[in-house]
Amino acid sequence: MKIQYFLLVMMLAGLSSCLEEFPYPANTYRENFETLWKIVDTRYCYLDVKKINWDSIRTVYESRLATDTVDEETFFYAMADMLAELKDGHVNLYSAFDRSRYWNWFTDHPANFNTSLIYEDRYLGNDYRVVNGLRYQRIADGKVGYVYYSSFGDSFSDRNISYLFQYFMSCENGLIIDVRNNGGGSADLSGRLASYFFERDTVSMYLRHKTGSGHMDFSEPVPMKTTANKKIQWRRPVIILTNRASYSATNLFVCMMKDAPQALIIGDKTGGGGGLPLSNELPNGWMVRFSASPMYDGKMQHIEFGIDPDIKVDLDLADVVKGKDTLIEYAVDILTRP
Amino acid sequence: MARIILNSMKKTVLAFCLIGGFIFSEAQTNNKEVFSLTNVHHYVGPSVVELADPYLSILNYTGYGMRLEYTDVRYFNPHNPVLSSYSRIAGLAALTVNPQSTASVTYIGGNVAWGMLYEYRDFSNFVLLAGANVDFDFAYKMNSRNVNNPFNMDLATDLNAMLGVRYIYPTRKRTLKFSASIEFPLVGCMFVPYPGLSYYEMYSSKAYGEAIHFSSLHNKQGMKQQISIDVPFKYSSWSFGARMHQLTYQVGELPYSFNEFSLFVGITYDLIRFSGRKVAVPESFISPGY
Repeated sequence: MKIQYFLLVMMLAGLSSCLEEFPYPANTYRENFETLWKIVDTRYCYLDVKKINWDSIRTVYESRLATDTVDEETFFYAMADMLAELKDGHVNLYSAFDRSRYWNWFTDHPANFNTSLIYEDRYLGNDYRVVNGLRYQRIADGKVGYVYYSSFGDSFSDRNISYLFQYFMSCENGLIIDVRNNGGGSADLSGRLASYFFERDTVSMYLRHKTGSGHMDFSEPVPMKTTANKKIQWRRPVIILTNRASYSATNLFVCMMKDAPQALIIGDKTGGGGGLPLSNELPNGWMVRFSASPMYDGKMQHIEFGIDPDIKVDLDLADVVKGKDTLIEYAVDILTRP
Repeated sequence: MARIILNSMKKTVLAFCLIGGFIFSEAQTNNKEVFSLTNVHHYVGPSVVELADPYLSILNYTGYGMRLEYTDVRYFNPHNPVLSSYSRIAGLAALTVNPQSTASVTYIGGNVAWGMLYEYRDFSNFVLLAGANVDFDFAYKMNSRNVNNPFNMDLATDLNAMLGVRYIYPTRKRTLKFSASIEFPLVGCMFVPYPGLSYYEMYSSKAYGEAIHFSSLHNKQGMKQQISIDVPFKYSSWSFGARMHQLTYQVGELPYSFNEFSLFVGITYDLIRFSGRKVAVPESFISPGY
């Protein structure tokens, strides 16, 4: 009887040992092309939303393979062109010699930002304070606080924000947060910055993710709460300045701030970048980044194509000549209006 | 006359003392309590690791690592030494790279298991072992080049079957032990996020349920195989051996795999476990390591 039990367990061991082998793509131009095409086909989240016929794009670039594979660089730029068809700033191909990118989401539009203007004496000047990427100064005779934040890749803490708000305690008219030319960074930081302007937790975004290889295989929308900071809150008016180069995590920040009780968005439409990007690799070791999970605003509208401001304001060249930033001036005017 | 009687009494008392003493000492021998020793193993050794994690990359990553393992075995009932408890704590740290060496994945993993082993000692010099354990597997894999999916975690718990054989080979100087064992998962559950599901989303929504899957032989197949030789010295035995771990599991159409081959050196010894100041150190022992 004992031997029978033993044989039974041995049979199970034999069954378990039938391990399946999975084929991995070979490092050839053809396999690299196929792998890249397939990654986008199965995991990129905006193919149908953007009405992109990815099959026909495959046909076009496959027919060019004979000429596009003469060397590594030619192949790289051919694949970069294929990815550019997605018109997505979150899509990049990384090699040892270059990184492909699509920047038309802001280069095709007015800049509405001039870096040198914000360092004029009437704004940041020379004696501004800076902490972890946040540059700040009292402007408009000390009535308004001004913060320029250039990247959500620069982390900050509650303590930093606490000092910043204390510095602006005398600015009774309100605060301007300038996120123009902020190309994004950490989505977590964008939520953290927004949290200081909410009095209660608010669902201001939804997120879905791919659940299969089909173009529309998505999960149910998951509500994303903007959690109100329990200890530090700015309860005065706040104006967010945006332009087309406000992208990705900045786009999320603006989306959240749309629902903040005393916030107003002024400037140009944001650049978008509403897809949470993920990465994968090709057999030759190149890395591809792509939008994988679409994000929506509180009304379940895609934020991939940008967020409209509450008040559209463009940079006026006449103001630039005078050393004035039209958007900041407009925001100050609104905040100081009796 | 009195001297004769006194000598006779002395002889009688002496005889009683000798007989009584013998009986008493026999009784002591028969009543000696047999005590279970804990047979402890410590292993350390280099590993060659190969892993595939579609969450991080479609490519196979290979590299080197270092494994540490602790196991102990102890009879439940020393008077009926067939069933023993088995426990294990193991850890592996490895650095792997993709075939083109353009990116690396750092692997840090651990395994904790507890189970039971049944012994068959009906064959001369052979000990057959069969049993099962429940383990908890943890692994953290980081590909720092990735964006928003720079790491993935393996979390799994399984009911595993264990089989082993030990051959005791006495030589003139010492008794060598040759051991071979296999272990494979039967059923369990595992945490495997679909590659489109980011940890950011899971963390924000606190919805982890979608990434937890039932596992059995249909979607998770693995085998841990180990061979070793124990060479006894004065107080402990030294172990030398090799270990291979193959594992594949699949969620949807995406295959994950982990293969490891390691050589190890270790030390094996018996441990006494008892408590209380007034408890005397036991005199008779039995260990499942022999």
